[in-house]
Amino acid sequence: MNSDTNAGRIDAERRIEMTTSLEKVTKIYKTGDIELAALKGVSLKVSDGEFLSIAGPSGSGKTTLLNIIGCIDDASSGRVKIDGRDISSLKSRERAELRNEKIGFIFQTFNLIPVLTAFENVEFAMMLRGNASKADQKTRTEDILELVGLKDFMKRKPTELSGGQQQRVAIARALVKKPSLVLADEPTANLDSETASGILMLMRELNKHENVSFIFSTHDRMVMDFADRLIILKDGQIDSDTRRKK
Amino acid sequence: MGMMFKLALRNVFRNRRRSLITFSAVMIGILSFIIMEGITESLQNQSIRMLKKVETAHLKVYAKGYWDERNKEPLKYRIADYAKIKKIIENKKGVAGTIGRINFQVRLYKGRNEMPCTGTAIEINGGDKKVFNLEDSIVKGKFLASGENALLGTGIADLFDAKPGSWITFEFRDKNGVYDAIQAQVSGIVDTGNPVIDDNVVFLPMELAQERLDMKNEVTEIAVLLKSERKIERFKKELEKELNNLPGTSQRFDALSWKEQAADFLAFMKTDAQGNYIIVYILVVIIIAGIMNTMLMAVYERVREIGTLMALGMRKSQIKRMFLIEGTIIGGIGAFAGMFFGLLFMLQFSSKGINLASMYGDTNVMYLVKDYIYGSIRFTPFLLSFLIGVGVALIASYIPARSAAKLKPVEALRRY
Repeated sequence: MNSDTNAGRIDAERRIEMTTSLEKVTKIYKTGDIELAALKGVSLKVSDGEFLSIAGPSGSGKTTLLNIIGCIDDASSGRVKIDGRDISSLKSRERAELRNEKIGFIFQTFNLIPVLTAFENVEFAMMLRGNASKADQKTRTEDILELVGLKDFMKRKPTELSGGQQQRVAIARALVKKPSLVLADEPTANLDSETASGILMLMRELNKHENVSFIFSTHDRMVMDFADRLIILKDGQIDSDTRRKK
Repeated sequence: MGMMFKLALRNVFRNRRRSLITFSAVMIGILSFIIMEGITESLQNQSIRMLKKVETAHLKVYAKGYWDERNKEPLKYRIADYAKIKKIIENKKGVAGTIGRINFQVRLYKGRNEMPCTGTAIEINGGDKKVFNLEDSIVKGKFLASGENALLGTGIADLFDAKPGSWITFEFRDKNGVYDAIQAQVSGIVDTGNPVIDDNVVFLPMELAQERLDMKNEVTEIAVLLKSERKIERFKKELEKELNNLPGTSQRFDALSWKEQAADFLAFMKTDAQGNYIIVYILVVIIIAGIMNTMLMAVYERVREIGTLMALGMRKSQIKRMFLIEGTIIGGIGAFAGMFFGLLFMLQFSSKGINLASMYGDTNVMYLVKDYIYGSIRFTPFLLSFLIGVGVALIASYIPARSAAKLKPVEALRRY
């Protein structure tokens, strides 16, 4: 890779086209004799480059759905395919590799590693990916942090950053390894509306710029309005699935 | 690996106070090990040096049967032609010195006090010095001269309240079993640090003893000092073979190395050293508990972070490795600190020594040392310390690391 190209902008590079599909996915939590169905036969298909919002009240199954798509939780039944691979048959190591290669996470509470600087938090994700030289890691990390507007904050630890800045670092961390899909669980819930709006615009920009699919959960109307596609979950089932052209 | 190490290192210093306590536990353990090992090693080395210097030499030649009967009838088993045998040994390659001694049973009298002890006849005029170094141990008076005089160990001198110039009576039986007595003046007092000698032996001039024991040209042992101890076993076998095949004599000989002569003492030292190390074993258990506790706390506090790392794609093996690295860093830093202070101790110990008398008072430490012992700085205990520190840390972090790796990402992320 040419470093000049890196320094200027981040290209939407060649990536394997990825489609995520869920077929009749259920998730049942068991507490003693009590069973609670968080998802009840959810079927869904997400294409490459979508900007999708999953909305619904608390307990509707948003986070569970994201966790299952993100390979960090198992469905009780049904089939989940990412990039054509049925993830239910994958071993722990293969799931970790899949997350590493193809999925980025953004958390409500940012979840940055407190002992690492903004730069190191992002670089660490890239290091885990393990497919770039040290120099490329550095360049890519600097570029992505510049892209999220944190060029001057790279050396700061998370505690020295505002909530919005921390979430920007988390976005950079999710995107640095060029995933096909970014899952964001209520990414703006801990931010004031102005900062939240900035974060959403950034995500939207990166969705276009990097051609990355975004799936984010929310119960905030403003956030829902940002999405191209809005899925409303209710009691563990899809209540509505609306596509809107922006 | 570099980034992983950086992350582990920063995590170690995340809770400074807790890490400091754990470092200190490891450091104290390692320091204790170095001190214990250093003192034990010095006590043993110095004891063995002293043993060879005043009691066993490198090896001794006896008439066959002497060693088993030495406490009952020592004069029954004599080396008959002392001068000839001594010359044969002296002419052997690798021999630095040889000298004969006579050990016999005596009863000491001074005033109303009496006690049985061992009389040892030694060559004067520098003869004994070819092998032994008794003169250096004289704390009062002077070495033996010809005539009726004796050197006493400090223990006997204290018991009899004897000083140089005091008169003591020796009662004994000569080789034929005939009772005899000598009145001798104390020429000096020796303090070898070896209780076997200091509390139990009186030294007399060889000439006087040979005459009164009717042992002209006879001794009970010939002590041999070698130029190098390395081939002592081979030398011993060859010497025994040669002496037992001498033409013109039917006498048979035994040669015993210093290890064989001092087997009981060496066994005591081994047992004592093992006893000392029990303290170290206990410290190791405390270190394991300390590190394990610290690491378990670290895992418990960072469950959510572990979930995040897993979501980022970190494999279970990498999570485990990260915590093992953290534990190893704690063990390594503690070990280095322990080694540093251990080195300071050993530097002081080797140059200034430790006054055993001030440590133990009048208690008999059983080792053949007196007053000061001096350490020597050796590489092995330091290497061992480091390996113990890191090894123990790895063992102690394994369970916490495994429990971290066993976490399910979704459950870990749910934890607050």
